[in-house]
Amino acid sequence: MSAPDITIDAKAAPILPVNSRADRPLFFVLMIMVFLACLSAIAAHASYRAAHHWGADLRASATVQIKPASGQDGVEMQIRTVQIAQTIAGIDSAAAVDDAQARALLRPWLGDVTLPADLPIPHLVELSLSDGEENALNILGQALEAAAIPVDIDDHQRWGADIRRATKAVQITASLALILLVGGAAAVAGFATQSGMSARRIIIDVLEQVGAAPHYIARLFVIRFGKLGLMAGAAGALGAAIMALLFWLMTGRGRAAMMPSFTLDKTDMAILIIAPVFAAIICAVAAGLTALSSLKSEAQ
Amino acid sequence: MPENRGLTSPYGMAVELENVSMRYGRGEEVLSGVNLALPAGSMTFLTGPSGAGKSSLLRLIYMAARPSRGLISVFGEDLATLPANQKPNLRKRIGVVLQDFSLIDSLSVFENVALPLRVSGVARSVYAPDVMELLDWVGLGHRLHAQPATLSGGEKQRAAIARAVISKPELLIADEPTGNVDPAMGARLIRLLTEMNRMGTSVLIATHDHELIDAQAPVYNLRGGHLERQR
Repeated sequence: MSAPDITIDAKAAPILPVNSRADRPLFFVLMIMVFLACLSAIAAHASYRAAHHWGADLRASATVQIKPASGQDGVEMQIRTVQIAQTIAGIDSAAAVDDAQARALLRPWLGDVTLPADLPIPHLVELSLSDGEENALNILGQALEAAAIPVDIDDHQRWGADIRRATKAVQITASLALILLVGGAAAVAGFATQSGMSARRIIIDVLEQVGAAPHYIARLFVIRFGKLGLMAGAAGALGAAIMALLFWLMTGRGRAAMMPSFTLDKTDMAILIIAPVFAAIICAVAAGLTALSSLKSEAQ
Repeated sequence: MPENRGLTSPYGMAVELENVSMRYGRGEEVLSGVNLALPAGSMTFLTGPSGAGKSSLLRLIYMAARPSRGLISVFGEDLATLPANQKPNLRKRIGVVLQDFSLIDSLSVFENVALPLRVSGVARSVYAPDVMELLDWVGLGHRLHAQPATLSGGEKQRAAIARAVISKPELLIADEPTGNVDPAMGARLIRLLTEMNRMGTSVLIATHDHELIDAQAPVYNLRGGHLERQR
């Protein structure tokens, strides 16, 4: 016998056929899940980043409101408050909010109308605080009391607590969404493996007949669904990146007035890169465990 | 007790069935109280009409089915107590040719035939020449890259036989191995199986073609689920 002069491919063909039509629904489901997971993670990260900046801004500032007092001129008390504040360690700067600025602050609530000249506009002083100088406001309060200037000092902590609560809520919601999406992706991959095994029953029977161990067969499904997860994950992450870019453009390139500044930073890029890998791992592990469990139970 | 204890082999028994019965689900027994002993290195024929249970008997031996009763041992291993993780190793020692060929449609003829060696972890550069040589010998050397769907019945049968013998199994089980080929190719394939038997492989062939049966080989007849030795 002599071998014919016919060449064969150096690489063996995949034993499990790539059935794009049968795998298409799984591809789309995984793609959507990764898309949503990326958006959840990016949104949670953006909210954390915004809250961090807001919190830092709030912690670094305070507002002194001078209460009306009979027989005392509000403007004069405002000037004296600035002078006293500037002498206290931990207060970097103190600036009086003039009448025009104070009236502008009312505009969001009262609208763009001409306010009566005799409307009592509060006299305010804006303070900038040094980091770690929380006691400066207590000292200022005592000093103003001693100077007989009645004031309310707003250290913005109420707003800070609200922001922290809101951020926590967003993070918990995003984390739950991520957990559900990961669980959902694993369940979908497991279900797809089961149906894939049913559709490829003949191949599995032949493999078992020629002596393939369960882990050998399971590995074929791990590779098959791992690749599928990677491709679907990449498509989902790309979709999320495009959506984030659109959001960035729609919000004035991250400069919308009342919105937190939105940009894709290194962490967001890492999320987009890791997500497909993570999807591949979830699919591969779910497919492997499902196939192994199914084959072993058949062998019992 | 097995019926052909008279056949002795210095290498022991390849297959032993003792009082084996089998039924599918809650149906009637397709095999009933079957006793059979195939000495290592023997060539044995199994005959009987269609539906007599020949394929079921073979399925029990290559572990694709389980008996409802009785003991089966292959190469001295009791299949009932054999750990599940040992079965693949035992299956690697058995070559199987089925009536429906069981070729994988998505793989070429070459890849189908190479499958047992690939599963055993043999390097492609090592098995490729052997596979091509065997395919050439069974007359499929020009069909290496063909998909099974494009093969004739006879070509599929030859590919299935090539796959069964490529790993030089210790036991070869063939269910109607010449059912779809012309007499000349049938004789050629039987010569291949006989040659393998001469080299030490135990061969069990189920057929209803009495012309294929070796005059010297023991013949068992299966009828109504009962096995009888004819000679």
